[in-house]
Amino acid sequence: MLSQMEKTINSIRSFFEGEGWPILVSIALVLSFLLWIFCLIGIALFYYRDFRYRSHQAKIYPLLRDFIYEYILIENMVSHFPIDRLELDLDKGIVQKVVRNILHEFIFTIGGEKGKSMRNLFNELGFDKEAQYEIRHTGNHVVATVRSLSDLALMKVDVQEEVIAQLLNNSSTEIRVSAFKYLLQVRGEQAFDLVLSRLHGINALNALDMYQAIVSTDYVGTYEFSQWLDITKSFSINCLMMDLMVYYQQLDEEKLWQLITSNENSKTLLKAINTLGKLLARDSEVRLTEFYSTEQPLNVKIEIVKALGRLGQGKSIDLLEKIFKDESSVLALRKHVYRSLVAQKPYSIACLRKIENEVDSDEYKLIRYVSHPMVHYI
Amino acid sequence: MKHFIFSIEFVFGFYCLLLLIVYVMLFRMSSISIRKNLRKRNSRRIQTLMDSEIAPGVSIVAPAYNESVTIVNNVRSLMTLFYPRYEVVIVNDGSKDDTLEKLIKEFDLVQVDFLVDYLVPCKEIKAIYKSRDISHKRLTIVDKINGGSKADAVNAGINVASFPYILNTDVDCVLANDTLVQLMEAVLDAEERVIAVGATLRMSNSSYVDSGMLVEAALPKPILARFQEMEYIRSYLLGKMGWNYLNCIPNVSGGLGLFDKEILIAAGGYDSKSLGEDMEMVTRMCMTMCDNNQKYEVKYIPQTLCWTEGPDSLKMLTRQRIRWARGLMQIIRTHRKAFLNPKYKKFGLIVFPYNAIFEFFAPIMEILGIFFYIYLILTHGINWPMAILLLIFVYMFSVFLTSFSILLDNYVYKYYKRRKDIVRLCLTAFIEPFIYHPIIVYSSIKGYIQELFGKKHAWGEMKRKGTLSPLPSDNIKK
Repeated sequence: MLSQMEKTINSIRSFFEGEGWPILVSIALVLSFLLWIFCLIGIALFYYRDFRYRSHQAKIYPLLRDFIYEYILIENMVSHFPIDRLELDLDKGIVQKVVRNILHEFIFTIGGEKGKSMRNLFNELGFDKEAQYEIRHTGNHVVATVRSLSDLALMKVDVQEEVIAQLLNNSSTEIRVSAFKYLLQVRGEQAFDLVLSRLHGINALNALDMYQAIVSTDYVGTYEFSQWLDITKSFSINCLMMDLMVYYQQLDEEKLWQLITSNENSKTLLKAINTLGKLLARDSEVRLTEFYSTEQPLNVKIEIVKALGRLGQGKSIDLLEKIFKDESSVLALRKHVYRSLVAQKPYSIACLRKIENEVDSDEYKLIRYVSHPMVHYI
Repeated sequence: MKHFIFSIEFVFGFYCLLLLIVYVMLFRMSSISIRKNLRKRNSRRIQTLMDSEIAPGVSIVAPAYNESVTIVNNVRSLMTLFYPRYEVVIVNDGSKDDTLEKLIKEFDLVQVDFLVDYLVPCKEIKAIYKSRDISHKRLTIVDKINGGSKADAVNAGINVASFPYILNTDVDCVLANDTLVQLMEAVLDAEERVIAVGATLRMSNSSYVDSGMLVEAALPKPILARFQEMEYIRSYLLGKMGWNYLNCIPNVSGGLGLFDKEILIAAGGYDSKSLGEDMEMVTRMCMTMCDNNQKYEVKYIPQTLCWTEGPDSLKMLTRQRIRWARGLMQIIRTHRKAFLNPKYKKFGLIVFPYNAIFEFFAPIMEILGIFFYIYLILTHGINWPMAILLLIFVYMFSVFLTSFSILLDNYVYKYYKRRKDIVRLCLTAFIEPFIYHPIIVYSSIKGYIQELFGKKHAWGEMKRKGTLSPLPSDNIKK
């Protein structure tokens, strides 16, 4: 074994001491040259692909635009469009892609009844069947599946339950989120339980997508989003629920206080305090005042002060005044304190007068700045 | 003597082999990183963030010094970015011309009482201006005493900014309309806390700009600007996107960088004495996170979101590169405790050693290599066939790397619509090793020597020629 190893090492050494290096450098040179050629071919291909797309778009765009103006906007046609007049060869992939993109552009800009007609046009051109086929057969090809699902959602086309179930259990988060969005847009409130129970693994961007999908539906009901608040869930999921609670003005103080007092995640804590404020949880004013402490991090203190400004009805004036007058309080905190005191008028009038009479020049500047009508962000 | 020569050859050979391995790895990692980015981008509607009222707020901080000619257009273009919640903080850094007066007149500004919380050090802020016009409510002008550096001006902007994210840019940079959306998407789409995000910058020289907005990108006509364009494409798409795969970005450019304000402040803000303040800032932010045992990400996205006018004279270019070289040397000297320090995890074990061994040492090794070559020639110790073979290989490899970067650029987005622009860019790769590269090596060595002897850096003034407008309509094919 040892002699074998020694033999190998000697042969490697003699290779490099002989013709080894020139051979290796020559191979590397040839490889570099070939890779360079491939790069040039790739650049040419990408350029040609883009050039082809732009050429087709330049031809198809005016045709489609005039068609939409004539039949949908002017003649108010709702369905059975004379699509033969377009003379589009939809068997070609590139034509399909161009037409799909142009239609998307128009669908996003034309809403209301005309938007429905646009969706019918989309379906009559066969894109709904195309999209249905793609979500069944593209496997884990993320972009194709997501694009097809969003087309189907936009056109409010139904998809079979088995297919949906498969997509909801997909390992790719992008596909799952796309399936969630599809369900929310097509089925609305009926899909809430199904979707909101499967949100594990989403990040902040996915949560934002879901938020937009829900608030852009027609839902105005009484579904309790707070039931999904849980200290064991990620910040993204809890944040989504709190944003929805704020949007639909659904207050659940106990659930929010569970998140605040658990102290598991500082971001969740901040968000929960912020939500209390935005939902004007007046019963929480005293509790928030008691929760405040000087040992807390600055961002928590600021969040509590901001919330008190929104929901306060005079019970927190003493605390706010004390923080403002405390010289160890940082400027950022004092700005928000003063603003919260102003927001609690008329309860805080006496306190504000007292402060204005006792301020020094720096505090006067602070007060002037916070009160300035042109200052929109603090 | 023979052993000594052999040892030197071994050192050079080993160094070059390591560098080659790094480039091959970057080549592979950048491809994967860009594909992943494009896949995510194509999977969602960009309008979602644009329409969202819950999008995190961003403060754009842009220092301005003697920008009277273009300031109004540039500020207008910053105020028309597509994003639901942001403010624009322009820092007038003691301009000697009428930059401030033009802004006051154009945007109907009035001075407001303001108590500045100097969270990070900067020279005194003299006044804050806000607009009486509600349509300009997001604009804040900070007038301050000149601090002698961009870093000082940016710090003043940070002290005034209201939102949790800061976008640091130059006021004369042209930003894409969806810059904030794309950068914030990268922040929200991450698993860990993102402390900085960067994107590709390109040269706006010879591009068509109208009222501070880019109308059409064109390949720079001046050869030096063209070389820089190529260098930027290579550096961002091959280099930074490659490092992005490992979460080991060494630097986020000062021309366009989105930062987490809390971490910026915790790290102490920009260092006004540093000549490479952008890289130094990212270094300190990473070290701060590691010191506090917190996970983080520094991200890059391959899309070009910013166009900037690059120096097109040799004097301006060498001055810029000398400054960058000195800045790099300062960072390595100041933060040397991070070198191979496991406490700083990837930053200490990969990013910092890479910067020190390859970015910093490469020009030195190159110069020493050239001297060694000359010595071998003079002492008849050179193996000519092997030497020529090696030179051809190195040249071919550099042409390949540049071409690959151009390929990635075309894969991401077709910025150049004209075929001749792409052809010219590809051809520039052939002459770059002979013209541009020696300038960069010379500037780097000069920078290191100046830094070593403590010579004071002369900032000079970059004379902006401005990009062309109006658009020549007969050249554009729809």
